Amino acid sequence: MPSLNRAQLRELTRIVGDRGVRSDAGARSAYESDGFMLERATPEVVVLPRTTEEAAAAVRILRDAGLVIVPRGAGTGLSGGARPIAGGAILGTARMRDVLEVNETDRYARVQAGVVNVHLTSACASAGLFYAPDPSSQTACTIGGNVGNNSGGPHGFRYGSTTRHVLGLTLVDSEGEITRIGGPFPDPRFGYDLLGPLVGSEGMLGLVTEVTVRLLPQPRCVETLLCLFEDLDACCDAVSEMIARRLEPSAIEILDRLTIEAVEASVLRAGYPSNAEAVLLIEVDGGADEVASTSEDLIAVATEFGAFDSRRTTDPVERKKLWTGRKGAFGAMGRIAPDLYVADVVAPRTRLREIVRVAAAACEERGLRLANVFHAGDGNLHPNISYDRRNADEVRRVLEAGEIIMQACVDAGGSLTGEHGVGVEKQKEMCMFFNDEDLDAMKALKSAFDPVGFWNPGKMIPVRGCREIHTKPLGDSVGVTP
Amino acid sequence: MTTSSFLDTAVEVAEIEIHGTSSPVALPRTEAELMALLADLRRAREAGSDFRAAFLGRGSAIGWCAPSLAGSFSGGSSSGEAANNGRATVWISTRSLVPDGATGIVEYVPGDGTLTAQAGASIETLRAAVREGGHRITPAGPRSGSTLGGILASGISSVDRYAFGPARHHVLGMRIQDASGRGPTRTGGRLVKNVTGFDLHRLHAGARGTLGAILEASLRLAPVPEAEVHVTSTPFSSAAEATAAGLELRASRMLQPRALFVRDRILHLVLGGRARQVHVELTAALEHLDAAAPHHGEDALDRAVDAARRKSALIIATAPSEVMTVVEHIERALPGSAAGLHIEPDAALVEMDSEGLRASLHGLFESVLPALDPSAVHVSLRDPSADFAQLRDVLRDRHVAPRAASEWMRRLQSSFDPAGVLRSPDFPPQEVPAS
Repeated sequence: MPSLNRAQLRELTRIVGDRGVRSDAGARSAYESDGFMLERATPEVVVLPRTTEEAAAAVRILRDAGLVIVPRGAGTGLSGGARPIAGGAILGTARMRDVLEVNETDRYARVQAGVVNVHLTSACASAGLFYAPDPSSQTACTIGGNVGNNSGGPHGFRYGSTTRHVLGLTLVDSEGEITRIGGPFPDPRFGYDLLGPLVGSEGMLGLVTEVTVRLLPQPRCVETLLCLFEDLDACCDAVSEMIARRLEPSAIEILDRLTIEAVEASVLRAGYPSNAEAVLLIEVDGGADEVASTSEDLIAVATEFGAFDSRRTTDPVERKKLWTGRKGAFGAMGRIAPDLYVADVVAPRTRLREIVRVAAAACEERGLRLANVFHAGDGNLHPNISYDRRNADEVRRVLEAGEIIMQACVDAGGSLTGEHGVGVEKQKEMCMFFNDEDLDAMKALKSAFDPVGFWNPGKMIPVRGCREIHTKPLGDSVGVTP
Repeated sequence: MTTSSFLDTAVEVAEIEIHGTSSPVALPRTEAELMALLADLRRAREAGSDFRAAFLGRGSAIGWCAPSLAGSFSGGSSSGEAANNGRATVWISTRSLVPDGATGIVEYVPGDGTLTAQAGASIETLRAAVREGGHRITPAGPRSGSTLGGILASGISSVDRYAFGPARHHVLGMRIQDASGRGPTRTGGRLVKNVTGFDLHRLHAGARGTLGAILEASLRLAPVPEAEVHVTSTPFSSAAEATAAGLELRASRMLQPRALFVRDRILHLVLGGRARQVHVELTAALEHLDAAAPHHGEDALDRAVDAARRKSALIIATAPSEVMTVVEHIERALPGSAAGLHIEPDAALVEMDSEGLRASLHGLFESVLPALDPSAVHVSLRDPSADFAQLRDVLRDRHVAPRAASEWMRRLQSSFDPAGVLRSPDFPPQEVPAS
């Protein structure tokens, strides 16, 4: 297995400083997985540059040493995309945390890739602007990581995922060359739109070191609604109807009873009611009259579909509490079991109830506990299955249920992932969604940027052909590292 | 050479009028025919034939978006032989992939707000179909003579980008036929949210068919608003004054327009959304603007699109904070040019039509271009006319692409078209390393 020699290690340390190189086993073990805990591998070395230039110089040394590179932000990803497959180097952006520019007039910000998502919104708040993508992990995840996964978040319903907000970026390629693509100009005017495929490329095309993002004016009025249901099915149907009536809030989220219990029992207690089987958490923003009209219509639909109570608040403290509960829901579920499998699938918004039922049945049949908290307005479901990773049989059952949910989504016209990415978790399942020729076209894109397979190898695109994978029985294609 | 002279595949070839000139265009009727045609062309290229193939829908945007190709038509060639740097051009249209009498709609799900349609589908037909379900396609307009694939491949956006962003943001997925020899490939999906695999559809949107033909596309639709109104100011004394008024409205944040642009010294606003909100915003707008009677109704945005309709010859893209400087330069150096100017302050675009450009070419060379910093202001020419050959050369030298980006683009093209069947995109000149 390739590794760094002493001279190369010294040179790396000279470039990025002592704190920027982690080569001892203890420090490297912290990077053996990301938020997807089922599979692990330790990198040969971890390098944490402070600038684009340092990153480029580090890439040249790692390339000369024959090491492949896994780019990594905060490691909050849930698909195993930011961990090594076997050895290689982690090139992390954790020390690249500067907001380089906030331009109020032209409404953009330029940041280093390691800037934490919520810090960007804080940095532009005084200018009356905000950065729209708001993943639940936004207090920890980085803008570079968001670019890698094309992250969404609750407010993606109205504002879209990361790809709609990236105006430009700086990429370090496998030659260690620095390239700036796009910029504050709103529309690329010649050549191909390289930003399009780079966003969401899961670190497989190069290392993103700087990002220019679009900022939006803060809405003049914001109202948060909480609609309470006795039945999860009815709650799902209400969302489908809101979409069908073309109502346009900024976020529509569903939390089920188990999730509510976990949140209310935690330090993130949000005041969710204990007498509801499911709640709809909705946010509406815009002009005051738009917000009032839309809120009234949304509550009317909720009532029509069986909501037994609906609450409204424009109070910032109340609103923040409601959203803190929602965004902390995954963490709160630590009270239920030591580990949590956070599935991430997408269903057409007309078929939410059907997929939620499939998930419930798959878990019930396998004796698993399921909690639902998801971006209902986008059809992006997160069935969360509690388990204990020390129990190999339970792990097997969890993965089996996960695969059944994915297959049901694909069969219904949905997809494998809405915001967490493919990584290693869903690599083989790509063949549920794409055929060999589709994947060949993706390989062609990968080769154009990375002809030698230097960046994040072994992710997203299955190594074997789909025809071969399809001959394996269901459940057998998911590998579990003991 | 005619389109069919070296083809084994029996593909219908029709003479189609493009820009007033009759040209032969291959019209495959099935995806299998298109694949076979591309296989023929690949063999012909490998055997040494010197031509390039170009895809089109109905040809409505050829002159607008493909200067290197459209040049052949203005040069008077009837067969396209002069096109593409002296090479013959084999034109292939995707419009006949939609069977006679069919709409080309693969799936319209009103409850999900998504549409999947064949690339050759008429945009008018699609707009009418989704209108019945209370939806709109972004970009608004052009309303006639275009196909869905043509619009997406051309990278055309419209004045509704103020609220909805460029058209490519609304593409959820595509089916593509490239020239590599593999069958049709799929990218993305039909869902409003999806990160499964690389977003290859974003690469094809705006690639002008140089990486393959779009066969099918899925779009996120926008709801038709409850109320909509088109407001037009009375003419300002200059385009700069109208622009300043637009920038002031943008900065005030008191309105949430669907569109905001200046055309011929008149500021246009489209307000849309919930009826109560539109009423409040209209009142505010009329307090700030000396305006003609507003036009209310479902066709308000269409009327604005019609007012903005233009054949842009010169496009100047910059930051919103630079727009005033650009407009003032143009008006100072080119008196009387305001009539041909189209300005979108938020998208930071200033566009000039061919007539205005022709009348002010000298002043543009002497005064305007030297005053605009190439690192902050990007100028591109869309009119293929020989009158602007010198300007074209000057502009090519103003902007360079990073070396690596150029290399990635070239590799992408050779991956999707290894035999060089398809025409080359107009790549910008490559950056020369400093050393």
